[in-house]
Amino acid sequence: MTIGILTLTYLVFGVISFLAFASGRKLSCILSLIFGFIALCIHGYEIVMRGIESGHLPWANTYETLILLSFLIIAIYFLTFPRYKMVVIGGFAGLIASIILALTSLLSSEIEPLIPALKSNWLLFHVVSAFIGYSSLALASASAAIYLVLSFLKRDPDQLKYLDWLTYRFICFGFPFLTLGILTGAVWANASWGRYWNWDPKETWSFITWLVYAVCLHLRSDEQFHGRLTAVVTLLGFATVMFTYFGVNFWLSSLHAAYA
Amino acid sequence: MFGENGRKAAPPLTVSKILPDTFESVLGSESKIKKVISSLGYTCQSQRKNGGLFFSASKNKWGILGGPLIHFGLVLALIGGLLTFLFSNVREFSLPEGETMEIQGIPGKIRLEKFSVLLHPGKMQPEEYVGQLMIENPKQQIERYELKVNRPLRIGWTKLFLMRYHFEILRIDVSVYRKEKLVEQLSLKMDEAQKLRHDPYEIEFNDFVPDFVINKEGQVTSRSPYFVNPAVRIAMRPSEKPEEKPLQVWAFRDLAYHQGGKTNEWSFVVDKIKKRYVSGIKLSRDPGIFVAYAGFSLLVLGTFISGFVLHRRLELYLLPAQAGIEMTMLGYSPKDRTGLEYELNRIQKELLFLFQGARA
Repeated sequence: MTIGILTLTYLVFGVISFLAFASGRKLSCILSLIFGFIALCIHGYEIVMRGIESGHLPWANTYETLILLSFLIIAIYFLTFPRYKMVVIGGFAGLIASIILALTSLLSSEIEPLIPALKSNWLLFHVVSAFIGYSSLALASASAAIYLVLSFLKRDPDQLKYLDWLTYRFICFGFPFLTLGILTGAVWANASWGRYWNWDPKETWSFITWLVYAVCLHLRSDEQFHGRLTAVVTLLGFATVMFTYFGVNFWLSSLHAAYA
Repeated sequence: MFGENGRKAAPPLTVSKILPDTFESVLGSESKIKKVISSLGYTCQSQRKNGGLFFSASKNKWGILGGPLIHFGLVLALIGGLLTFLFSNVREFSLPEGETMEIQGIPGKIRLEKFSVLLHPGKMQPEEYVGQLMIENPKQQIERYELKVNRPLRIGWTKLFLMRYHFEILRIDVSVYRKEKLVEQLSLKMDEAQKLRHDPYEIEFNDFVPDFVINKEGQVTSRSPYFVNPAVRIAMRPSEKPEEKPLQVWAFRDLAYHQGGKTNEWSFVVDKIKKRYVSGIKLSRDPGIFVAYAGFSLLVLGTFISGFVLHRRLELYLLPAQAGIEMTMLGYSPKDRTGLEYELNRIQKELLFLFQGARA
C-alpha cells in the first residue's frame, strides 16, 4: 500500500519538478522539493521498518533492491541539489523512481528469511556501494537525456554546457561507487565461491558497464568529445547498468539469479 | 608545456577584468581577497611582484594521483588475474557423507562426518548448510571443523569452501501389499529390479521426490529440494514379460494410500529411506589473490580520488591600470575544466562584489 502511494507521490514530484523547470518559478521549485523530501522520508522509514521486521538488511532480493534503488536515486538528487540546483533532474529522478517502484508490483513483497549465501557482512558494502553507483549513474543518464533533448531544441548554450558538466559530475560520483561495488563483490565471491572472478554473467556485465563509463570519462578529457557524444555514451552506460541489474537475472543463467 | 601525463598541457583558463578601484584599496584588501579564494578550498599565498599584487593558490594537490592510481591498480589487478590463471589451484570435488579422501594440496585425510541442511523454523527456506569435517593430518592428529557457506576453512595456504550439495538414495525398504495384505518386504536400490519371492512380478524404484505435494490433477510434484516429505516411484511388471509397460505408482513413507488415491490391487509403503548427502567442496590455493586485491584497493582509491579530489591551481594578478585595476586570473586543472571555469567565474564575481561593495 505504502509503495503504491510512494509511486504516485514520486510521479507527482517529478511532474512538479518538470513544471518548475519549464516555468522557472521559485515557488514551484520549493513545492517540488518539499513534496519530494516528504516522500523520501516516508520511503526511508519504510526501508528501516522492513529491515527491523525482517531482522536483516532490507536488500536481500530484487523487490527490496528496487525499493533501495529508487530511494537512493531521490536521496542523491537531494544530496546534490544544494550544489547543482537543477530542478529538472528532480523531474527525471521522480519519474525513474516511480517506474522502479511500479516494477515492484510484479514481484512478491513477502519478507523472506536470509539465505545462507547472503549471510555476510559484505551484503552491506557490496549492495549499498553498487546501488549508490547505479543511482548516481541513473541521474547522470537523466542529465544526459535532458541535454540531448535541449540540444535538439537548440536551447541556451550555457544551460547545455551546465547539463553536460552535470552529467560528468554525476558520473564522477557514481563511478567510484560502481568500482567499489564490483570489487567488494569480487572479495565476497572469493569468500563465498572460492574465486574472486568467475566470469559469471553478472560479473562480466558489471565489467562491461565499468568499461563503458571508463570510456565516457576518458572522452571527457578532450573538449571536442563533450556534448552529444558523451551524452549518448552515458545513456549507453545506463542501458548496460539496467541490463546488468535486470537483464542478467531474467535472460542469463547467473550465480546471482537466486537473489538480485 | 607538458602536463603530468606527458600529454601537451591544456592552456590555462583565463579571466580578465578591469576592477573599478584604486590599487591602494586592493593592497588594503589583500587578506579579504585571500579569504575569497580560500573559501573554495584553496591554499593561498600572496606576494608583491612587478608593481602589482600576485596571488598563487592551489588545492587537492594529491588529486593528480587519481588517474595514475586507477591505471596502476588496473594493471596490478590484471597481473593478479594472470598469476591466478597460471598458478592457482582451484578444484571442486564431491565428498559423500561418511567417506574419507586424500586430497592433493591438503596434507592428510579429510572426511565428511555429517552434512546438514538447517531450515528456518516453520519455513521451507534454508538457514544454513553445515558440513562437519574431520581432518587427520600426517602426524595422525585429528581436528574437527565446521564448514559453512561464506565461512571458508583455511589450511595453510589452501582454503576450502562449501559449495553445492546433493543427496544420493542408497537404499529404500518397501513393504509390498496385495489386496491390503502384506506380502513382502524388500530392500531396493535405484533402477535395480528385484523379483518378488511369492509372486511372478519384479519391482524397482525409478524416481524420487524429496518433498512431494499432490497437485490439483492428483499428481505427485516436488515442493522443495529439501528432504522433508519424500515420495518414491515404484515400477512393477511381470518378471516373465520385462518389455511390458509397468504399473507405476508413487509410494510414501508410512502411508499406504494417499488421500484421494485410487485403491489398487497392489500397494507399497516406504518403511525406510537410506540416503546420504554429498557435499561439493571447492579447494582454492591462489597466489594471485594478494596482487589482485592490491590492485583492487588502488583502483578503488584511485577512482575516489579521481572523482572527488580535483587538483586545481590558480594565479591571480592585480596590476594598477589607467581605469582602475587590471585583474587577470589563470586557472589550471588537468581535468574538469568546466568546473574550474565555474569556480573562476565565482571568484571573479565575489571579487567584483568585494571591490564594488568596498567602494559603495
